[in-house]
Amino acid sequence: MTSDLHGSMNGEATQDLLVTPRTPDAETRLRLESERASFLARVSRTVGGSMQTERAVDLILQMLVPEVVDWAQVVLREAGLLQCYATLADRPARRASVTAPRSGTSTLSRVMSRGLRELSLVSMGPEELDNEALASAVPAPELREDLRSIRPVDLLVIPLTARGRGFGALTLARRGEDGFDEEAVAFLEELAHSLAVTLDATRNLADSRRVAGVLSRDLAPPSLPSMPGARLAKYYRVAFEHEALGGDFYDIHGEPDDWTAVVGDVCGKGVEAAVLTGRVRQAVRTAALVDRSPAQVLDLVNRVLVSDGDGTFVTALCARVRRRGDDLVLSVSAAGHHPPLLLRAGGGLEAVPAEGTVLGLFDTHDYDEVEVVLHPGDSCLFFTDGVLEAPGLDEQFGEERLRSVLDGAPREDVNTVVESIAMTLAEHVGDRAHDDIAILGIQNEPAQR
Amino acid sequence: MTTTTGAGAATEDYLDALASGDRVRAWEVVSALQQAGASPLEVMARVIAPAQARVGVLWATDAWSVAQEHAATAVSEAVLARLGGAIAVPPDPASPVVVSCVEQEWHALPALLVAEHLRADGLPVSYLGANASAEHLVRHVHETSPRAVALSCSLSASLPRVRRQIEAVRATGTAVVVGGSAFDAEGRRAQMLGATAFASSGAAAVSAVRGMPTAVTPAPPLGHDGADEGYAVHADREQLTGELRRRLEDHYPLVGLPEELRGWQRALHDHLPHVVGSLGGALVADDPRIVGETITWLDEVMRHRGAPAGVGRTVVAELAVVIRDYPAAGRLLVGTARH
Repeated sequence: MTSDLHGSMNGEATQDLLVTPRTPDAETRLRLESERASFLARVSRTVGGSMQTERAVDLILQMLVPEVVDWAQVVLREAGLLQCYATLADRPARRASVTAPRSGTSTLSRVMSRGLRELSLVSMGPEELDNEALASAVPAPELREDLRSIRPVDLLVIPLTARGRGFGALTLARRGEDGFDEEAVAFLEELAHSLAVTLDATRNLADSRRVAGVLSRDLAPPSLPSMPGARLAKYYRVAFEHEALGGDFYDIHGEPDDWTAVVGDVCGKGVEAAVLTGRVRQAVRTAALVDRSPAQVLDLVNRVLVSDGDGTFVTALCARVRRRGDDLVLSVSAAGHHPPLLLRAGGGLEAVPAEGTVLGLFDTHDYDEVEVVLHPGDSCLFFTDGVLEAPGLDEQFGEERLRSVLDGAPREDVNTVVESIAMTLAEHVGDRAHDDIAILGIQNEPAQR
Repeated sequence: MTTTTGAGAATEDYLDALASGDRVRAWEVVSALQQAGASPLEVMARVIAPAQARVGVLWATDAWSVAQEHAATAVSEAVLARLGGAIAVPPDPASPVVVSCVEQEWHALPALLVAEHLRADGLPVSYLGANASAEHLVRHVHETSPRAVALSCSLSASLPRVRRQIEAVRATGTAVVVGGSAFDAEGRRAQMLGATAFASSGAAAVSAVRGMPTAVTPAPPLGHDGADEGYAVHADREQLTGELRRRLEDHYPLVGLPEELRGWQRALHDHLPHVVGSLGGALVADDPRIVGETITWLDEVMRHRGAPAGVGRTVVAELAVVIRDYPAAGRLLVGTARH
């Protein structure tokens, strides 16, 4: 069962915003002005949030027709093409794309290049849809179709101009007898001006967003590969939700039966930190190709970061993961990072005694490896200090709380374990600001029953 | 394995497999149905969804442990993923439907079911999964320009978050369909919260999405009495829960009780945030039934765990003291106590 809840777009019925009475009294005048002002405000509020060009255009058309005019068209110039969108009352908006005419040869191109509006009355018959005046304002034949039902028609073409550039036009149609008087034209020009600023910002934003999307693709946390005989689980939460990128990172790569897993935390938060995580992850990948030994990997990454010499530092855990019979063997090296926790299928909880110097500050070569054996069903958890330092109402989450969650959680599946931590953490943190958080769990698959 | 004929028998078999966390057997039940001609969607709607609903009840009535519930859900998610793999992915990924759980919602299975229904109907889906924050959702909407957002919520305590996410999504001009057990079957709560549409099943979500406008206006503000107070209760829920816990300590002591004796007392302690949160949900969605439903459910959970009778009543009485500074919430509780 569904119910349709959206109702009418143009809620309250108002008086005609385009008709100014011949001899208005002060009260009528005031009411009309305030209704026009509130319509303008409503349009910018509605359209301003969309941040997506086609949806913004859709909203503009929905708000204009039929409340203000009988038919409306938005034209946007885009790389030699005119993207045209138009709607008649109670019809979904139609779109069409036509080749942009040479400048000055049509109403549209004239309006856009001069930045001046044009008003014309077209008294056409059904056979006159190809009427030149009409075609030069509404170039897409399929969009002209809808104008059949309105005639004679007054057409007002207003430029959409922002940053000194005419990038489109708003074409409004009204039945000939209603027309556009001088005040109506002034009101609609003001409307078009505010729409132009919003649309320009929206188009601009879409471009920047595309660039940012391409650049950040490599910085976002990767999805987990499938590792035969093992289960992987992750939880990742950034401090600056709006930036979507943070200073915690994890990565796992390799070949069947020989993998490198890394979890770490670079100094700082947000986009700047994320750029550094990208460099570290890349360095780990490169180092692992040469030698998968985690001590060697951390040593190389340290040398890369020290040679950059910009004072940035990174804590990390690096593990080489290999299969030995039924067991999964992890060689773990640490660089100033909280040691991983080992969850035995039977119930034990052990800290892996891995320690070493933070990466990027000292020219040392002292990374050690600790061997950890995961029997079937055992799991190993790598996490960043954002977990332990997660703020609560009274206190930080802390190691004791983490251990009590791990003691209470069912261990059959590492995904459930990580989800239990995530749920408790989220409840603990509530809406408080927190640091970046990353958890990576590796489990040796339990023996099939 | 026994031969399964009807979906009812299959659900029992499937539930059996879930009870022991047995993926292999769960998949055998499902593939037997498929061999008998059932489509992936039919299997989902007739076996997996009802079985998972039963899992919730089995947990509430203490017939299953938390571990069993988790294991069962993990099995169903794996089965769903495998079933979903058989559904052809729509070729054009442009303008997907974003399917997401509300923030702090961890029951991903209903959203997953909706995602598979949409896919099967030829709609591309961008699935965000459990616990998606409002910021994450809105950023994703900006990045993907979806044709609509489907938002799942199972706990009434999360309804204030649903409202915030509806506001955020509608501000982008995007339509929102909501669903999940936090809503009433008539869709009244969904309407109050400003959703574009309400769907009570995967199939309903498909037709809702198909029938939605391509662009919507921002959600009008909540005008009803108590809405602001609902947000206040939601914002203050941790302090309120803390005070409620302290007051209930006099009736049902937990502190100092040895770990092995903390049965229903522990469950009560763990569920108080939801009880307090449901007040916020009831106020924001303007539906007093929510509080009554929550207390009834709490009494169920308590009864099956051997708690003395009247826990719900005591909780209501103490909660009334705790929320003394919130008059609209107080009126809701008085109404609940009368029933």
